[in-house]
Amino acid sequence: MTSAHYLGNNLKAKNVHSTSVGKAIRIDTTPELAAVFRVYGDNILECEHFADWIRKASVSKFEFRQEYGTVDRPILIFEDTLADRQRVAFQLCPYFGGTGSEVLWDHNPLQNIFDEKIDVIVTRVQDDGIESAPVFAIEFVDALMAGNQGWQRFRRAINAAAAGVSYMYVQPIIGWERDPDGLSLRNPRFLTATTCLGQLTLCSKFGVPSLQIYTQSSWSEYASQRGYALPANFRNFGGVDNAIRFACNLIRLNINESPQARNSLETVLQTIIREMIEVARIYTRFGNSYLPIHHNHPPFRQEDSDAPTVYARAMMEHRPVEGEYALHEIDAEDFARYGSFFYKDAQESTCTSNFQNNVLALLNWKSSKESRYKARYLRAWDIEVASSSSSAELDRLALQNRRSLPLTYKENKSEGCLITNRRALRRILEHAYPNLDSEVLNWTYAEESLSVLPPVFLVPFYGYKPSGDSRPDRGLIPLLWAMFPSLLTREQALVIVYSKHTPANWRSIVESGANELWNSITRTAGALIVDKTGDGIVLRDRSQVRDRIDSYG
Amino acid sequence: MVNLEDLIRYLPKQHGEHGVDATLHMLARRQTRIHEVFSNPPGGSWTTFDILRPSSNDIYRWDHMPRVPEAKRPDLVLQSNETEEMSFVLLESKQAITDVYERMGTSLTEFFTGSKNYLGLKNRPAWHRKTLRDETWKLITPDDDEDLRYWFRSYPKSGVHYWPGFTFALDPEHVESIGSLDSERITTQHASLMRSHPDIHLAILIGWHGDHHEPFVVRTYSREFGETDFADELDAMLEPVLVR
Repeated sequence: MTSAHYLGNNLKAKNVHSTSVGKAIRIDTTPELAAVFRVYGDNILECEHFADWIRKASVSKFEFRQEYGTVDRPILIFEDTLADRQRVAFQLCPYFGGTGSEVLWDHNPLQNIFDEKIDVIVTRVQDDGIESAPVFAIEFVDALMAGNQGWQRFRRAINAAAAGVSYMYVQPIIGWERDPDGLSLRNPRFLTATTCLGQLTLCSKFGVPSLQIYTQSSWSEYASQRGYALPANFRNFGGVDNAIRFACNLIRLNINESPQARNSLETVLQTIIREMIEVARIYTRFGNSYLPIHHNHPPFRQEDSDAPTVYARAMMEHRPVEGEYALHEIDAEDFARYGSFFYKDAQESTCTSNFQNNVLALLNWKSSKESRYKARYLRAWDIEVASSSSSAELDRLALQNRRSLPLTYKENKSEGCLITNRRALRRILEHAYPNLDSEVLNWTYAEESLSVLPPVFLVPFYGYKPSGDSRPDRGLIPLLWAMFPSLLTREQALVIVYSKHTPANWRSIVESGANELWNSITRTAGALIVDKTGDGIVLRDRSQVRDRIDSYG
Repeated sequence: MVNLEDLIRYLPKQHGEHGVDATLHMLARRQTRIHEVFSNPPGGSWTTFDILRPSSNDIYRWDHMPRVPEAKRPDLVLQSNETEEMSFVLLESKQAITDVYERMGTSLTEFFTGSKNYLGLKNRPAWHRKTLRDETWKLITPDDDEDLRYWFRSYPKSGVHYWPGFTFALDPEHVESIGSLDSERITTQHASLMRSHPDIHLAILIGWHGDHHEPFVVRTYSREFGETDFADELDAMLEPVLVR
């Protein structure tokens, strides 16, 4: 049985010919509601997308009963077939508003949690009319996973985890790039392992579900037939059905504590984590993005490990994952054992020659470079080099001293590196930036320091393009933080913004706290250097930026 | 306990362009005579167009259709098929009637038919298809028959009709009652709009009334569109909120 009860008053327009507007339907059968949830969304399609999850009764076990309210903001009433057919209402509240932080609703479900507007947030309206904190949040993506697509929205995942809000990132398991006119196929676009690893690490650190949901499309089978890399059992992935089960059990548990719902929730969490681990396992050893540290980490090293069970249990108990599977505890020793030599590709047209020659050339290692380049690089890190050394000998020297050199988590092009020799780093920075504030230099390394300083995690950060949106870059540092939360600390994270297009008044932009590109840096980094102006600041002192900017930690 | 009356009184501070799109999309969704090809309300960027092939139960999908400067991607596309004839209503939505711009209707049509330096949707291959009953899409590969990939391109021009239109919010968008609407003013505005922009065949105004901010629609069609069966079907779709 389904019915729609719209409000309406047999409306009449003055001077309008016929006057049959709407249907006069009163709320004469007000159902008793066990609970009411509000579904806030970026727009009506996102709200509806979630409502369609609940409507899928074969999975959700909620049966649709009635619709109330106005056509553009309906209230949908369902019966829970697993809980005495109690009635639960979902009020769709589409559209947060424009691009600013304000929203069009009296209650702002984003406030103090999300830096950016997220596709869907579900809250509960309590009996006193006050709204709860978000029960969960969802991000739907159907764009191609090209380039840095995965980074773009990553702050939302961190915001959710840090606030204890369950989060689902729903994306296609594979897509296909076409030529600009859409006439021919170019290359398949795979999932990025880094975002999956970042979300698994958030689960590990916070004990809060930060889940990836993989949707099947007609491209999946096509890719499989052509031998492209997909998780071995991708056809059996639960996809959106997993997400529906997860969301519906969260809703049930929010209404009543029930062992049945808890068991179901834990089971579906295990399934989702297993699929995420499967995706991470295959794409950490994939093409140009081999991720040796993660690939050798226990959850991914062996198939059929009990990591999904361990993760699900930790999340049910809202505590960090402990033991060998704890991804959030990846540390300098993991880099030393499995890390790769750092290499960052920065186009000459995008950065200064000073940055290229005096900074990047001393961070980047490539065995294909000429001997002179390699000798200069090694000497910069206090490694003695005989002037007669051949190229092969320099390669060997680098390998022998790899713990003293900038190491990264990704083979080929990477985004950040771990540097243990802070004294050498200070020397490099002093030489490249003679006007750099002594505070930044002392943050990097001070002779008088009595304690052994932890390694620096250095991120060369582009940020400003000649034109276009900075959104992809805004997600980079949050993603790196999520992957290595024990290494991107205030004491360790150094960001060098190197774009030639960086505005000279960057300090005032940082101070204002109004620019999300800079906020993404100041939330995490301990020190910041701007190549274009040759100066920088230490960010440990929170008074340098407005109070509202908090670190994620 | 929370009651429905309280819920219904929970209102956004503004409806705007999103409210316009949401009203039309939700009306389209609750009927089956008109097929919704595409909907793109503010706050997202959808790129997938699903078109019903005449005389079949097959829907074909064009995905990743970009925004381009050479043509205007509509905010809402509705389709009605009559035997071999295929008609599309292409709507641009804005906050206010004053947001109309030159060549709006032409530019909306060109998203389908193409223009200089832009290959319109109809000239591109479809990449997926399914029957109305199916849940899953099948890929149309580059090796598949041209009749599958390019059926729209080779479809007779005379069998395809485009009806560009403009939809916008009332200004101010809320009235206490429909009775207080100055319908003469609205009708005059619509007529003026369509006289000055002859490439626009539909003017659809959305307003909200009463304590619960229920949406209502006042529409004006060009004489040509008004004579089509599609106009009757569209009125039937709008019926729950239509002011006649």
